[in-house]
Amino acid sequence: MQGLNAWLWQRLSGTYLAIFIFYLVFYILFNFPLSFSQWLAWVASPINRIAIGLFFLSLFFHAWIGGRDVILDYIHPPAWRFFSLVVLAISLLAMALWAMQILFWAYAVQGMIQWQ
Amino acid sequence: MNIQFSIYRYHPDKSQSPYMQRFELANSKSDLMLLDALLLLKEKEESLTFRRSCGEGVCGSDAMNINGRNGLPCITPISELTQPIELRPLPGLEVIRDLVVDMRLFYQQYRIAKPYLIRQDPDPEIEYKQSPKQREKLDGLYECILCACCSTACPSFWWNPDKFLGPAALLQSYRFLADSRDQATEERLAELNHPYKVFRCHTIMNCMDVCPKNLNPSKAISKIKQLMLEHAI
Repeated sequence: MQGLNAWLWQRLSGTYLAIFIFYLVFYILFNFPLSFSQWLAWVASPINRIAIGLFFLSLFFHAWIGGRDVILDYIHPPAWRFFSLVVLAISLLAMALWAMQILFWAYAVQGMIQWQ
Repeated sequence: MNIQFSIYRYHPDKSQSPYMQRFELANSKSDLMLLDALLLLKEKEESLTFRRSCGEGVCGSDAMNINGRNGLPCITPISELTQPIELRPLPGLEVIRDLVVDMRLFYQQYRIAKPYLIRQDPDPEIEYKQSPKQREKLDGLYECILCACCSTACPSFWWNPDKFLGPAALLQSYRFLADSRDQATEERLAELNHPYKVFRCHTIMNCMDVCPKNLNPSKAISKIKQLMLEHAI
């Protein structure tokens, strides 16, 4: 993805990130103080699970395009550029997997609580 | 009035690193433009080298970095400047001598923007017609004098002057995209949809800040992106 597409997706994902952060902050403010079980239930509810999943997808996508832009601007020797892109991709992927693991864990714990 | 200067000096044949040289112009008038003062200085120090031609902000050949800001000395009054007046060549381009830079990269990017009308239809017998409304769209675009103040103030151009077109060339790109007589909109947009040519612009806006003709290349660049989007959908 490059040129107009990268630029457009950067803006779309950025917009979603802003909207989701507002949603999250308002939820926390209006339900303050939040207990752990309340928070867990919120995270595990189907709509929020989709919203949070989309948030992390947008976040890593946004970070990939933005990080790649910085590398394209500043790092010119091909070997260094390739190396930094690989490091960026691997670290973003690792964080994405980690985020997914946490979300699945929250869902599983919530399921166990309901089952009990 | 005494005018103090600190001017960037570099002479490649003398194999010396660049250095800043102090000058003083004694008993000069206070309503001078900076270029007038430089010409007086050159009478005393003949080796001082800079470009200039029209002397009234029309040709754009005397662009330089004045107290850290790109501008045209011919339309910059001495009275507005803090002293010593620090003069350096335009940043980001190779220095040929003193305040003269190699503008080849700048012109190369201008050439890539294809700054001329492209027509598929045969030329009209008498003249191209354009309504006043269509002509209005070129205001703020055609006035560019190619002084390079904007492109050499642009960090994106400093980083990738060989691949990123830079604000001056992109302003011209949009000038021909906006022209009702031009018939190559699709081809122009397809060429610009490239990781470097337009999209290295991060809306830093140094270009519109320094433009001595008060033009806004930033706005033209965002119009190009908008146009691309409209054509992509």
